[in-house]
Parts: sequence; C-alpha cells; structure tokens
Amino acid sequence: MKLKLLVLALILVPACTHDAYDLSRGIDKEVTLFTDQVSLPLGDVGPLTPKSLLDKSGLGDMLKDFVNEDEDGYLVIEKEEPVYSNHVMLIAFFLPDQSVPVDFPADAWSGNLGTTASSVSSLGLSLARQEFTVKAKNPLTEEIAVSGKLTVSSQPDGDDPAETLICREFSRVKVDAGADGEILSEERSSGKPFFGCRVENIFLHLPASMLEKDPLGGLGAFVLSYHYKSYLALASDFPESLPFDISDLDIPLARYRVKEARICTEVSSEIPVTLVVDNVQVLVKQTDDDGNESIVPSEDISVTPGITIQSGCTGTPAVSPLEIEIKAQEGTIPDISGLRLSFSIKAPTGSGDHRLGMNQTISFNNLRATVSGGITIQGL
Amino acid sequence: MKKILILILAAFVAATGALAQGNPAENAALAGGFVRIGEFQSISRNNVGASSFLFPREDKLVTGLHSSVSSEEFLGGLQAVNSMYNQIGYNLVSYGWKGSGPGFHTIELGAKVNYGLSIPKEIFHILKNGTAQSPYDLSALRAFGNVYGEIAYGYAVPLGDNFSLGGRVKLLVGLNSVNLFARQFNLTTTEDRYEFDLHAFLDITNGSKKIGTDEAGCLDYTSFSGKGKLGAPTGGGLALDLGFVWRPFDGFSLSASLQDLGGIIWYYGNAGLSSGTYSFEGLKGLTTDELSQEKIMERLKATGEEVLGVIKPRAVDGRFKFRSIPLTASAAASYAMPFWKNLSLDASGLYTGYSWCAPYWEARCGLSLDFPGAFHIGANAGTGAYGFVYGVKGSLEFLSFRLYAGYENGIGGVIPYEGTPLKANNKTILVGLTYLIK
Repeated sequence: MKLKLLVLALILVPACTHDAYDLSRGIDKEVTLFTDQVSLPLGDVGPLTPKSLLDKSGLGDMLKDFVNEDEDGYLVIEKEEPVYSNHVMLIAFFLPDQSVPVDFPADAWSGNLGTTASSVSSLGLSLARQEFTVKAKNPLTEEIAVSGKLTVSSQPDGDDPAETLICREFSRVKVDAGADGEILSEERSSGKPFFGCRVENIFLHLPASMLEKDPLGGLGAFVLSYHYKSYLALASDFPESLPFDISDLDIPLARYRVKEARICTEVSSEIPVTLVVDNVQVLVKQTDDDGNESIVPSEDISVTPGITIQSGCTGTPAVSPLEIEIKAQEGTIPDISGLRLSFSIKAPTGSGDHRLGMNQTISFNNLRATVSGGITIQGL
Repeated sequence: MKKILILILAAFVAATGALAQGNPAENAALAGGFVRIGEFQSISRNNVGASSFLFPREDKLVTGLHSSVSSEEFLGGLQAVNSMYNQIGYNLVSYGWKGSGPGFHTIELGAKVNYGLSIPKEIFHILKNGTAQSPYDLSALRAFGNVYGEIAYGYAVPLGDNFSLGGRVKLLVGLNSVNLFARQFNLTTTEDRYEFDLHAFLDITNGSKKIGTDEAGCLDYTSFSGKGKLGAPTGGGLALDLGFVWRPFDGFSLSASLQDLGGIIWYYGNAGLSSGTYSFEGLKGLTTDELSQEKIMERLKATGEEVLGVIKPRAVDGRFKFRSIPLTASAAASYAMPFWKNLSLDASGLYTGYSWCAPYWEARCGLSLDFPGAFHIGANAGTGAYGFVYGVKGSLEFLSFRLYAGYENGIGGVIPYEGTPLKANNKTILVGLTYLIK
C-alpha cells in the first residue's frame, strides 16, 4: 500500500499545477526594455552653413537687404564708383601735339564711405578687414601708364579731425592695352573704418599718335574707379538672450515612458561667433477645460542649460563637446511638440580671422543618445 | 571535463535505466522471437522552464521584461544558453528472430522527429538591461528541426556465458530538415557604434517548394517555385548502435551502449549563408534639407536595407550537407537481491547531445520487481542536468503479448491546462506492445 502511495505521489507531485501561472488570466504584455541604459549612435549632422540654415528659415532674403555676400560667401559691404572718366577722342582734341607722348592731368576726386560702415555698426557688426582698390580701364590697343596719390581717412569724431589712414602715391603704373580693372593701388587694413577718400595728382601718361595707331580706340574712354570692400564680423555680444522656437516637432515619447535621455555630440564650428544656449524648454500640448489645444512649456522636464559652442574660423573649426540631458522631474517625458531655446550670441575674443561667412560650417559629429531607466512598450 | 566525468560515472553505474535505451546487445539473451508494433516515445527537455519567463504579480502574470521584475530575478533564472529539445520516435514495426547461429536478428522500421531551439542569455540581457556590457557573443543562437525514417537491422550475439555484444545498422531516410546555425555572431554596442560580425547558415530541405532568389541572389521567401513535395526523401544516411551486456556473476549485469552514432547527408534545396560585418555609426552627413522626418525615415530605410544585405541569407549550394543526429550514450547495471531474486537494485546513466543544443545527462538509482512471464515494475530517481528526476515503468504479459509503458519526469510543476513545465525538466513517455514468439 505504501509503495502504491509513493508511486502515486511521485506521479502527481510534479504534475502539480500552480494557479499563479494560469494563462487563462492572460499575460500582461507590457515590457520595459533596457532598464539600465541603452546607447544608440545617431550619426552626424552637417556640415551645415549659415546660408543653408538662413535659407531654410527664410531669413536669408532679409539679410540680403543689409549686406552682400562675396564669391567666397563672406558677408561684406562693398562700394564701387568712378573716380575719373573721359573719352579718348575728347582728350585728344585738347592735346597740343598728338605726335608726342604726353602726361595728361585729370581732376582730383573726393568721396566718402562712412554711411555704409556706420549702418552695419548699428547691427552690432564691425569691419573685420577693409580693402580699398583703385583701378583703371584702358580702351587703347597700346599700353598707357597712370600716376596719382590716394588718401584714405577716418571719420571726424566731434572736435577731433579726421585721421589719415592711408596716403599712398602710385607712379607710372602700367595699364595694359584693353585692360579693364588694372589695379593701380591696393590697400588693406584691419584698423579704423575707412571713411573719406581722395585721389589726386592724377596723370594719364599717353603714348604718341594714339588715335592714328588706334582710330577705333577713340570711341572708348579712360576710366579710373575705386572698389571698397569690407568684411563683417560680430562687434560685440548680443545684449539679450534670443528666443528660438522649434515648434514643428511631433515626438511621441509618452507611450515609451522614458524618464531620462542624454544626447551627446561634438560640435565643430567655423563660425566666428560663440553660441550659448542659456535655456531649453520642452513644449508640450495642453488642452484646457473647453477643449482648446495649445502648446506650452512643460514645467516637469528639465534640460541641461549652459551649453556653449565655441567660436571658430574658416579652416580652423573649434570643437566643443556638447551634452544635453532631458529629465522628467516626476513621471516620464511626455509627447514633445517642440523646443524653445534661449540663446546668447557672443563676439569672438582674441586675434584671428573673425570674418563672418555664409559658407562657414557647423557640424554635429558623433551624435549619440543614451536613454536611462528603460523604454516601455505596450503589447510587445 | 565535467561531461567526461559524468559519462565515466554513468558507464559504471547500474540501474533499471531510462526507457527505450534499446541496447542492441540485450536481445542476445532472447530465446524466441518477437513482433513489436507501434512503440511511441516522446522526449521533451528544456533547461529553463516557463517560470523563468513568466512571473506572477498580484492577480496577473507578467513577463521577465516587465518593470516589476528585477534584472536579478529575471536573468538569474536563465542559463548561459537557454534551450529546449524535443524528440518524438515512432517505431512502426519490429521483428526479431533467433537465427540458425548463436545470434539474434532484428529488423525495425520507424521514424523520428527532432526539433530544438537555443537562445543565448546575452539576448535577454540586452533586452532587459541595455547595451552597457558590450561586447556580446550570440553564437549559441540555434534552431533546428528534422524528420527522418529509420530502417534498421540488428544483430546480437553471446560471447561466452557472461558477455553479449550487439550492434544495429540504421539506414536513415531524410524527409525534411531545417537548420539555423550561427557559427559566429558577435555584437558590439558602444555609444559611437553598433557592430556585428555574423556567419550563419540557414538550410531548408526542398521537401516543400523551392524558395526563389532575388536580384542580389538572396533567398526570397515570397517567391516559390515547383510543386510541394512534403515528405519526399531529401537525404540519406547511416547510423550505428553498439552495445554490450556483461554478467560477471549470477544476479549482476552491467551494460552500456552508444546509439545513433551517425548522421544524414541532406540535399538542401534551399540553403543560405549570412556572412559579413556591419557597422552602424548612425546617419552620416545629414544636411539641412534632410532634417525632416520623411527624409530621415528614407535614410533609416536605406540603412535597414544595408543591414539586411548582411543578414539576409545568400543562396548557396546546399547539396549533400552532413548533419549528425542526436547521439545517446548510456550505461546500466542491475543487481538481483540474493535473498529475493525478483527484486533488483538498479542504476543507470545517460548522456545525449545534439550539436550543442540542449546537452543532457542524468544518473539514477532504483528498484524493480520482475516476475518473468507475468509483470515487471520499477521505479527510480536520481539527478540530471536539470535537477531531480524520477521514473516509473512497468510491463504486463498476457498470453504472448507484453504491454509496456514508462514515464519519466522532473519536479517543479506545470502551467495549468497547458502542461508546460515551470522549471528545467526532462520528460519522457514510452508506450509499446510486443508479441512474443515462443
């Protein structure tokens, strides 16, 4: 009898069912994955250029109203106008003897550039580098030479008179036959803004019998002109923090019950401006009692402030590590409808090339995300 | 080393033994012949149970990935390689007869189904905890299944008064086989890069329709050609059973056998190889124009296709690939009590392995009562790779018929109505009927 009971017990005991595992009650299919943390490489964004960013935001056209962009993409102010222009035929008419070479005097010219330079300073910009060029056009089929004196001065400041910044004589600079834009004098400066300019003591050194040798050249004109070009840089820190909303996001995070996420990257910037993100607010949708939907900053999510992207310059980018931590104070991160960034723009410090360019690049390299605390999925 | 020690130990232990060991030398002692019809054997082994994946919480069940289940609780209940293995054997008919010589001959006809799955713990570790403990070796990932028929001829012969030797040659007819095997699967997950190194093959016999290939030469599971030939032979092979029985003195016997030593050369009509490395460092060089959800999704899709390019099996020549069948080594000993010869003290041990999927060993001791010509009953208990095991078996003779059955199991309970074991378990059921020719 005991043997039978033992055999029966051995058969039945392992076959015991555990009601706690009764599948007919269903299985909760909610799972929380990666409870410690999961890291995911996101990739690289860029190189992005101010031009592409401004064009995307529609601000590019607005900027064109104030400043120009040169062939290399640098932001510049430029001015060009003739200093002297006279037809060959007219000059020849006044020559006493066309059969010999002659030094023909031209009228002096004065002008100023100050209006344009002062307009950019009101935008918080400065002139990083200035170039002033005097050029000549020779319509003849024979070489000529030009002499003269260039004087560039600063703007008078109250009782202080204008300061002479450049005083340069150019003597018998050859202008090739048919040349259009032969440089007579080229000046560069990173100092005070150019304001007044004067070209005087101008002499055209003309060849003998120029109309006999080139009758058609008489239809053209000798032209002297100047070209002023100034590269722009950020002059000073922007006085106020600028708000910038990214409002077209639709990141459905709520369902995943994420508590904390960190995004890291190395920002490589050629832009000679230091960007400081003072504050980041996460925008979420809110529905009031009447059912009206609005997008408001979430009070429950903190985002690491004080992100700084150092200034660089063309060809020598500055690399700044950047880390953004998004953390839910209570509960989990909701659906994100947008971001509101407050950022400051600071002028570059120290020496170096501070020219602002629309083709300067900013890249977000090695972007990676780390989610801590798990990702919850319903019904896996 | 541990396995070798267990095998040596098992070889020297005696027992009533596991069911259906089929030591071919046992037949040498038979005086008459027999006809066996419809023996059915089911073996089910899993080194983790349902309770490793399901956890009761208040009035519901949750999975190990639920937030209420700690990492230690879930992963602590898993094995380094989590596997299940099932074998169903059906012996259609066997015939044994005493030849004119000293030996005993048998002819058997049957079929077997094997299937199993192995999943490395690292996969659950990644899902539960995340990717902080990179790198991961997922090479133990494996899934397989095969069906084959057996036509066997056995011969057992006594060598002297105390020793018998037996052997069985099996002609194997492969019917269908699926084999997914990751020879190398390394995954590295860092903040900067996800990288995997994969060398895996997938073989499917062409018993069913032929799988087509896409333009890249990869198996295309949406494209089939040919007529379905499920059940048609697609492989052939040989296997051997060898065994001996030694009775050094009256009342004591020691036996050992090696079964299913061999395999099948399959003609895999659909064979694929996934091989290569892939490194994902995120989406590179996203431009301003691409910073939109639609464009990013396009890039992600392209990345997915690159990954598929490595994972997707490329069609390769699958003709004549050899695959071994599950091998079993067993030993048994029995000692009849001097004071009552019908009562025996038994011990047994066995080891089964199949391509590193669910290797299993066990050792048992037991008692059996044997009344020749009437009935036999035995019970045993012991320990194995999955913990405590026990078994009962018995046979009943009436006229010339012998009906026999056996049941082996572990402990730990099952899921209600389902029968799925909650703990690691080995379960074997055997039922058969033999007509004894006297």
